[in-house]
Amino acid sequence: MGSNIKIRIIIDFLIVIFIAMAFPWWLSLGLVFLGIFLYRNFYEAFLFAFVMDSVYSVTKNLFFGRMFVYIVIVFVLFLFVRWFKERLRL
Amino acid sequence: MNYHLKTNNRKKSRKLFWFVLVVLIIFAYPKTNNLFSGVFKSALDPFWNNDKKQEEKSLNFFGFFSAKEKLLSANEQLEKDLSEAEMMLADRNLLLKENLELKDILGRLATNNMILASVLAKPNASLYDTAIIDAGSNLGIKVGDKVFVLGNILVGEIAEASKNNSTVKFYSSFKEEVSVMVGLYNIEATAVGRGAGNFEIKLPRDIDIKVDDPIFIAGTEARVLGNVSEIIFDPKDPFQLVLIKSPVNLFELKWVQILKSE
Repeated sequence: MGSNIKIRIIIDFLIVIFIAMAFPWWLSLGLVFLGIFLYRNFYEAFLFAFVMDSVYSVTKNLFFGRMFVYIVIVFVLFLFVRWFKERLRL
Repeated sequence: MNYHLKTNNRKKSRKLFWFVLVVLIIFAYPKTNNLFSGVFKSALDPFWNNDKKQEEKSLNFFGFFSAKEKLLSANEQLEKDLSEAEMMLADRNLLLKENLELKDILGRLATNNMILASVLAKPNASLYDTAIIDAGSNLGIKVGDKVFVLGNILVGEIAEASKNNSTVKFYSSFKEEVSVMVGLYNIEATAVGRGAGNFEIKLPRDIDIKVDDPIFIAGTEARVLGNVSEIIFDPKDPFQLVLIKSPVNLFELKWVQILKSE
């Protein structure tokens, strides 16, 4: 198994642990960002965002109703990192 | 050979894919979330309960390394605080007894239907500033039930109730509004959340209010929301901004009480 895949599995495992053990939100989001940056097709980030939105979201005045926060953040991060890496030719 | 055409078609189909995904997310996401919310919470339940037990064990482990002198001075201070608290408690119990007797005479005695629940996931676990507790619809919890800390300090309400756990929405969350009574003169106002147990109220500058004045929720029983921590006043502004702080630290919550609605 390549080292890339091993690192990806470790990142996925850590994100699952951080979500399951209710660690601070910035830890799981930071790892998601790292995964998106390291791997071009880190699509499991959307699944993790979906889980976070399902478990923690409520109707709030702040977020125009509810439950888009994590998925929007991951979506924007995904597009931004892709665009950024293309510009830097990484 | 038309390589450019193929590349153009691929780019168009990719853009179409992202567009369709965004539209699907906007329309289907809330319903899909509702569907899976209970499933994910049931799956995470064993982890949350185990995490609580580990936290209780680790607290004892780190205590072993604290310096002895530090512990002795902390112990002395805690004993002083405890004796002061005992005196205030005796006084408070007398006042409470008198309050209940008066309410009984006037026929307004409220029944106390509180359920104790432990906090499984604190507000810093997500961006939504919510908490997950281990009491759900199996204990009669419903959406809209009020959530208290230390029996009398109102912190929020139940926003979602699944079978074994519930989601608590805090009143102090950013932009959340709650009707309150301000100070000893019971001035009606709307407190707007600023996050992390803080609120703000905009009052006309002529209203006499001081730091440490209490803030209550309207009702027959005085439910404390917080105390005035700061008043920001500009002579050019016809309003004064009153900042309120909840007496509890929401990030250190372990136990809450839920008042079941009838």
